Amino acid sequence: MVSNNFNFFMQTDLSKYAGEWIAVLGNKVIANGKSASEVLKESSSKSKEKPTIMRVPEDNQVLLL
Amino acid sequence: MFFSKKTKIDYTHKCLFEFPFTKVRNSLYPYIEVDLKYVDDKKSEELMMCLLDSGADNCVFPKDIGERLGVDFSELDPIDQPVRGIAGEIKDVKMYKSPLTIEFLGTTILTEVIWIDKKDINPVIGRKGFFDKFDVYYKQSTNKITLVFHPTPMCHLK
Repeated sequence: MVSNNFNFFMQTDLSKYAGEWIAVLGNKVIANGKSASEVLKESSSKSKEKPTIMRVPEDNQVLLL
Repeated sequence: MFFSKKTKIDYTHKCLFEFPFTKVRNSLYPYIEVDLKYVDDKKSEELMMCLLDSGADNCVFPKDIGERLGVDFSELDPIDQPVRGIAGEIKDVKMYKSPLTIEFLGTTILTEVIWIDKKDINPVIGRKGFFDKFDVYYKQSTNKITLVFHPTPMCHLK
């Protein structure tokens, strides 16, 4: 099943993290930064639990995949 | 495969999952949460929100995540064939291929993925591996992504 963090992403306006990686645990952003490894390193210093990470798309970006 | 007007999808297999799109300011994005594992070890797994992209051949992740998961890139040769996005060939960035286990909703998918040596890429779940296991329906009008796990009602289409 999905983690408890999943609902946070569905319900939260992530605009202020646009263009950044974030780590979410316990319904809050516990780390943010320019790379996935950076936020995982920071989050591991705050909690032993696994966060869910995401790169929030830029505000002014059109994704053509 | 196209649906005829007579086709009715039977969801009684209870293998249907629905998610809302993720909203970032005024845009909606089809994200799913997956669990990435390179080796079967709880310590080396990462939970990640990834874009579900039916237009991508492969799953794509940043290389630094691969390093955390235990991929030894010094043992891998960079991809020497052209890799293209919709905007053209991706150049001047090293890319690698390796197997990876992707877990999603209790389903384990072992597939070959692409690692890109760039920190600001959006992780993508592409067709290879994932779309073999799930039929994916994008319902922009209702803000829902629907995933149907195989064996699915699709198997019973007449």
